[in-house]
Amino acid sequence: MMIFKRIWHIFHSRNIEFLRDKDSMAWALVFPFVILVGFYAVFGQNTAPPAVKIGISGSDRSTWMQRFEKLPQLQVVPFDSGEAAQEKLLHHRLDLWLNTDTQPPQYQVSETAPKGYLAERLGIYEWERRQQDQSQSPALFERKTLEGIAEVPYLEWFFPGLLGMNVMFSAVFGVGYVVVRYRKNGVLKRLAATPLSAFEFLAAQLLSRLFLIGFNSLILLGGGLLLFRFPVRGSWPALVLLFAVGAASMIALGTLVSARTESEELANGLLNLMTMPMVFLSEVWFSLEGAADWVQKLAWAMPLTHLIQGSRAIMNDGAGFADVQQHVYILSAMTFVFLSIGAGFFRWQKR
Amino acid sequence: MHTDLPLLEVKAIHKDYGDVKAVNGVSLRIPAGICYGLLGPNGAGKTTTIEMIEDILAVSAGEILYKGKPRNRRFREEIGIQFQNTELPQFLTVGETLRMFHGLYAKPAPLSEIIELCQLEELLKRDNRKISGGQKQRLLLALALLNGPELVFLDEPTTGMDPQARRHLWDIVKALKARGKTLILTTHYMDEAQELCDTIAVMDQGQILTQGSADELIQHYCPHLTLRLPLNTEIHLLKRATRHLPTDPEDAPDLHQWHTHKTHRSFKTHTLDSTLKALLAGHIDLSQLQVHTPTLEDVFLELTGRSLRE
Repeated sequence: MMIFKRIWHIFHSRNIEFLRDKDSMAWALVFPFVILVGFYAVFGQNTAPPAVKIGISGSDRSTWMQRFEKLPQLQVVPFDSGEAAQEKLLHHRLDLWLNTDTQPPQYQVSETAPKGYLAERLGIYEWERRQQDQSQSPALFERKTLEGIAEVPYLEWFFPGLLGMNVMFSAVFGVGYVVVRYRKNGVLKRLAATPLSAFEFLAAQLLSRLFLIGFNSLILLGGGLLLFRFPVRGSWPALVLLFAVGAASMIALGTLVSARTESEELANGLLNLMTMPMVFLSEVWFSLEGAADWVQKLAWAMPLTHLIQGSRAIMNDGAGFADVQQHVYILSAMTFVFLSIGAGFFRWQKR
Repeated sequence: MHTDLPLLEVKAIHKDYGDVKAVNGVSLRIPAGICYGLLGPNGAGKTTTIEMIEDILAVSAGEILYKGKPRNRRFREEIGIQFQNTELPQFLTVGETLRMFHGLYAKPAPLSEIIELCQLEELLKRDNRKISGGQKQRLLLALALLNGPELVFLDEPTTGMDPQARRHLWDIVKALKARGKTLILTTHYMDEAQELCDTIAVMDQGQILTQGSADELIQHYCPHLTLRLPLNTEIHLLKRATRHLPTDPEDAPDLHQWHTHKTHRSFKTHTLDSTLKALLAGHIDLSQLQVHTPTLEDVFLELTGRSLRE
């Protein structure tokens, strides 16, 4: 019983500290709105942003703009001068530049930029292919879309990744910095003089941060559902449970970093080292389908992967408890392991 | 029931940081109910020693016994610690801080008693960041007493305080002594050690040089009074007046010898009455006579050749 009493007192005090720290509190409340506004600005039309940008200059640019604007996945940008367009291309602000002053029109791409090739395929080749279609040559392939089949729109696929990323940053950085600051200013040393154990202290920090993240995620999720009308096709309780264990596992990961660190600069570096691979490998932005086997195994060891895969299964595919239980078990185990290692290595004071 | 078992026994503890020996073979026996002082200049190893005893720092070598046994998890429940430098949680009031720490103990003392003892009634609703240095030290002392500890550690409790605040804290420490608590206190103020401590260990360079009560130490190391007269007093008259004062072969070599300094002449004696009579008989002008009574500062000077403040 004493364990719970001690955890409660630290949890309660930490919550009071946070609620009275107006700057941190304001940021925690404002940040989800910032994400929502940004998300709405980019995806407000409920369509994904264009894949490539093509700049068009020259006397015949309005004709070519009309032609290219009919092609999918393109954003066409007009330029008064060719030099200005080339300058943008040189600095990768454009993926392709089409000069209509010459006959036939000339286009320029960077061979080092991956999107240059894509712009060439989506713009120039696609235009040429359509011209050839008009010559009635027999089609090699028959084209079909996902229309009429239960397709998951791109934004609905993307949104759980955004939620997961928000949870990750709030969890890992939030608790990591607080513990390092406590160690630096001697608050931890004072607590070390009491019967409080490292596990109890870290568990209280975890619960306090979990409380905040729950609040923060509710704003983001609620805002997303209201603005974009995303459906949650699966079980709500399973979604809440998954987010709770997912957030807990990443807070516990933050406690690992802060277990011995004394400097905020080092903590910042280590926390970035942990979060950046997760941003790229946990399928926040793109799928790892077809990636090398070792990359997929590495991603599987990251808590954010399980949080995002599980939440996509619930929100996009209508999954319930049974379908995501594997993710819940793995995240729970990660929480316990990270917290135990963090408590085992915990240092109460500066060297 | 009388027992010879000390509350705390420290056996030859060492603390090494690489090649630096911060503490070098310190041994102590502290019976229950006394105030034990570690007196020494900054850097003497007092804080390292006390933090090893508190189980905040690990010992490099040696043994520490509490009630005759190695310290265990119960130790934290039975001791109270006031650190030299520590911060308090931000954004909490004094009352909230007390309640938080109070909740961490299995058998806490009544909170109202601690608040009254440390005179914190007026501060309970004030933010931790808005209290003075003296008030903060009283709050830190209160935190150390929340579990009704048998053994209280006070590390430089009055450093940086103004004289009034120091006196205030001394009164609280005396009240704790009156309640039978065992206290271990570090200080570099000899007047604090003399005022509060029953036994004093003089520390320097990681070692205990000597220990005993203030009177015992002074009597043993500095048993003489020093008389001071101005420079314009004729030295040959002084020597003539005191030439018949008795000396013993075991006495210090400079006893009953006149010394001339930049500002005064001095004379060490253990017989004030005879010396004054001899000076009066020699018609020496005693209107500017000063008599210096030895203190722990003199003991430290005698032991190390340096001042406590150096």
